[in-house]
Amino acid sequence: MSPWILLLAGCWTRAPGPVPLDLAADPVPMVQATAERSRVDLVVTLRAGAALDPVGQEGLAWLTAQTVALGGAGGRGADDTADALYRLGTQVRVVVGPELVALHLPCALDAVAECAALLADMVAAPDLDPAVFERVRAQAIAGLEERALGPAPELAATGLLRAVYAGHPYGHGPDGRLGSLPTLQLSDVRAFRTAHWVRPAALIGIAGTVPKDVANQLQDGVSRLPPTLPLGVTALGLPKTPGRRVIHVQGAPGIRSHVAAGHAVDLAVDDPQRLALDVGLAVLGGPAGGRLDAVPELAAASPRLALDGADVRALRQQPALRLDLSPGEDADPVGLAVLALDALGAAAAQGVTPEEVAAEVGRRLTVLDAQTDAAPGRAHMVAVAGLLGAPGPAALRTRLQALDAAAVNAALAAHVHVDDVRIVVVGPGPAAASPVDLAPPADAVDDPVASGPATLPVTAVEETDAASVQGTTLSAQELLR
Amino acid sequence: MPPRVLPLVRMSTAAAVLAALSVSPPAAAVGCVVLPSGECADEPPRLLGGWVADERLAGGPRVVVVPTPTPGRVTVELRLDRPLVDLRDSDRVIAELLGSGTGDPAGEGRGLRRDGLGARTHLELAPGALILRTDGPADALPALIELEAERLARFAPTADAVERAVDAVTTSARRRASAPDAQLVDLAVGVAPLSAVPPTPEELRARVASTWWGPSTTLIIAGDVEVDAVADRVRALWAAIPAPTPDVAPLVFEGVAPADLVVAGSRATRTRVALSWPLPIALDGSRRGAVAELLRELLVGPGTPLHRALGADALRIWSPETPGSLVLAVELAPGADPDAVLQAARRVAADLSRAGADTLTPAVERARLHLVQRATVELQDAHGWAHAAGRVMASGAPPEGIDRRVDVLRTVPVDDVRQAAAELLGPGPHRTVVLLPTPEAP
Repeated sequence: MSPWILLLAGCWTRAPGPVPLDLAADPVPMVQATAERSRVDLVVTLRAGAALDPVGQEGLAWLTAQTVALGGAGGRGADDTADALYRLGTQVRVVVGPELVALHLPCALDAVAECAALLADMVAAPDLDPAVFERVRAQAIAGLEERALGPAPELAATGLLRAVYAGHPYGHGPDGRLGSLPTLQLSDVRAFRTAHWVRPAALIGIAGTVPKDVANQLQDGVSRLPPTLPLGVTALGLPKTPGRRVIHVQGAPGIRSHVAAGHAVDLAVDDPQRLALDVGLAVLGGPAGGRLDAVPELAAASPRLALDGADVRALRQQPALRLDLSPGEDADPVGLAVLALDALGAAAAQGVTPEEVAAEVGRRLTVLDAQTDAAPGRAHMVAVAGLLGAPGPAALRTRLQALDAAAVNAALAAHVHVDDVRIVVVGPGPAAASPVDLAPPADAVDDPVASGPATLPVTAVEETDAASVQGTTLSAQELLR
Repeated sequence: MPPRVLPLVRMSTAAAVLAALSVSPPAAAVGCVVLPSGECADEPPRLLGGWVADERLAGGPRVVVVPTPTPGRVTVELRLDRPLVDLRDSDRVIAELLGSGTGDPAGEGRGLRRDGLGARTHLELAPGALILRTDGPADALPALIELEAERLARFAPTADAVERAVDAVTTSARRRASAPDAQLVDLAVGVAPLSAVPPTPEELRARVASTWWGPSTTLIIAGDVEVDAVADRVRALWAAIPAPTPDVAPLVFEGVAPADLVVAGSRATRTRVALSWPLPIALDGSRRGAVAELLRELLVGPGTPLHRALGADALRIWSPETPGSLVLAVELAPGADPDAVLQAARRVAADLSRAGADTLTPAVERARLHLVQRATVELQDAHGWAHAAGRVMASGAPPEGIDRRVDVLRTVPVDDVRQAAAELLGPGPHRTVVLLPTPEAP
């Protein structure tokens, strides 16, 4: 077999992304959602999200995007680039998700040519100012350190991410870990950018009415990205999470308890069952309330269900079922979680009614209308569709309209596994004697590998009374390290 | 490279893009603005597509209607503009009841009606205002106007609903107090904590009748609207609401209590400091508002002397929009001395207060350019317009000030800014806040 065919076969992934070598040299694709207004939104989206962080370098995708956006563009230097954006009355908004990175520059129409030139230089010829890198990294560390103090729902979400995706590229937040961030250097950012900020991994979105020559200028500018194949793809194998296990996270003294429980789900972005499961979970316990609220012992804890990673703003190739509970001060959080999971299992087995599905579908169509009525939202959905293979607005509408209770119930039966879950309980920890020193240990700084992969450290093991669930205990600082 | 819009780089991506977008590529002309119709226009679209209706209902709220270039969408904003220092607990509870649709015994049904209309309400407690903002499709606007009228006209919450709302407000206040940035701003502008005694339903009804149906309340309708038709609809529905005599005077911002030093603990790992000066912006409307905006940019905008003076000691520098005050907030880097940072910030403010017109002119022109461009970007959707309208009107300016704001920003003399800096940022009264890291803080 030809080595070229072997190479191309090795680059294949479930979703669009890496492309045949001979097509990688084509210009970056561009989508335009027109709207008659004096504002233009320019967005460059790349498949260079946090899932591509190397083990031990979690947070690198985030640091790279921030340093690119703030560290100067096209030889102007960081200060002059910031000054140019200031004079244009705008600033770059950076969004780093599990799979995608987006640089979004809103701009007045009469200044769009200058905005386009700046954004193109930022993406394709960034200055990567060392001082900016240091500042961005310090801010990221400070942000993570403060997250260790709460709020509890965010800590629980981080804990669940690490528990259900242990050892998987989704097992850490986009902004990394306290153990990895101090080890990252500007040279790492340069290497990451070289590997992943490449032409076939990029897509340009324009919302508004842009003169044709300016659109071409932006496309030409971004197409200066190297025409090389992107390195690395999201690992597809999910970790096994048999049985029910509890992770107790000790937060700041006085923090209110919160529980997050769930498991990962192996449903690709274009799998019709994914939408059916998402709708089914919303019926059983979505933001507007659901079947679980009817369980008297649970109502006070506001049980909420979601398919985490299904939202277009933070799409994951494999989402996770997530159950959130806010237990009262006197409640037993593990007992409540067990009760809620049992209730979820029973509700999933019982299924949903056609009326419930119709109501949820109607709500989602309304939200979809609101998203796609706005040109930036339409352009963003199209970009995600193009880069990750997710259904675009039109396909999503068609699928929603065709969805029925039988499909939803089949998805619930196939993909809700309440006996194989991780339960993260965040509660108040012991009072600290002095303001906490959350700096990572010296050995973690010296040796990136020693700081560990994105799995939860175990400091103690205990048996809980609730259904003999096995558990581990760690501090919030350890969770984020 | 030759011109192209959607090159077929790879079939999977391009096919998905084309199928999802369902729009034609723009016309191939060069150097023009391509409209949605595909036509080529020489001029960009106008900032606003029509004129503004602005009137005050008898003894009650002000109503403003404005079209914005957002086809098919509308934003309806009901806002009570009071400085946070003057907001009573009852106002927060009323806003929660109105926002959740439980302000009257039939309220939950009303919430469902709103869902059925495809609209969503968001409650926002901003420095200086309580805002209920509903976004929805344009064809639901008549029903939304009716719902907004009903919210106030039939406000009669049950004791249970009040109890739930008090719980929600208490939780929200606790969350805000445990968020260091919000805590810093609240201390800088002197927000009072919640009292321990919850209001009764009767007190809430009296407060709605006397204050929420009063001159500090504004109904803003922005989006894909026909101004005259919407104004008629509002008059027909809202004028039927009995108009009690308001017990509050039109809004005037007095600014923060001067010369205070506040040191507090915060659930944080970094020290934060703030300086706050009184900023009486509701004097003659838009001109003073523009001066205040320029002054804020001169003090804390990117590239200003403050950033150079603080250097690596500051992890972040920002200035929240707080009517009645000019707040300078800093999150310190590890090891930075709070006292040294405060002294450096005060020196920069004092230098600004003494600067002559010649020195100030380049900085004012830079800030002026930034604000004009930013206004153009902000005012291009119904949501942004409603937000900007509320902000301008909270400063005492008329709603047309939204349009005029740009003109005023362009023309306000440098000397006005110099005088304001000399009056406000000199050695006169100001408040200093130091927020120390105390992880045990509630």
